[in-house]
Amino acid sequence: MINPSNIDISALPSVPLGNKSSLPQSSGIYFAIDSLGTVQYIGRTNNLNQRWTQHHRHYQLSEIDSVRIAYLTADTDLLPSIEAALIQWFNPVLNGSDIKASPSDKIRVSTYLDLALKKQAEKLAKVQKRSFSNLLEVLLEQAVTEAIEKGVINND
Amino acid sequence: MMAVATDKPVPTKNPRVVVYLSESLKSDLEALAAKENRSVSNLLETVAKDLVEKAKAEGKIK
Repeated sequence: MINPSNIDISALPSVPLGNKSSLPQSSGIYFAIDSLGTVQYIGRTNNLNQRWTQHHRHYQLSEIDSVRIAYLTADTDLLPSIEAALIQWFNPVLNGSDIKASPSDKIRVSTYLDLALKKQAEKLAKVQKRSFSNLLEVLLEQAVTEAIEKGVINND
Repeated sequence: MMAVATDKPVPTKNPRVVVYLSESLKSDLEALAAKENRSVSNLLETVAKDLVEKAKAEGKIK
């Protein structure tokens, strides 16, 4: 079993957060470390490169200065126990904390529209040089603003 | 035979459209739809209809 106190994080291979696409396609434990060397987050994955294509902590880590992702490759069956021992030892700030999403992150909402109406709305979006989704978003925003102004719903 | 209710969506020939909304806009829309006793989907259809009709009246589209 691994002894976390023997691990020198600064000696592990690492990449800057902005260069996450160069992480290897290997299984392992990853450490998100800030510029002071503090471990902000620890996780495990079967594929480091793939895991970081879309990570739920990316936004929070991107708000911290000069974060690097260090990694320790290991066999997949050993990952859960190694991760648990490392989290216990380093006690990273973000493990177990609330996940903050980027304000620009949007939720996908799907619905059904009458075919003729959809075609016409798409035509209009084209005329206005915007995407169909953006046109609908603007429309819905207007409807909500109007409802708030009329006091139909509260703005809180 | 007894009819059994399922969670399966009602089949529709209407095309599915996807829109990306911020969380706050989505919750405001849900509040508005609830206030008007209708679904968010129906609300969206109505605002799209209004817009298309207005655009037609203004000659922006045929």
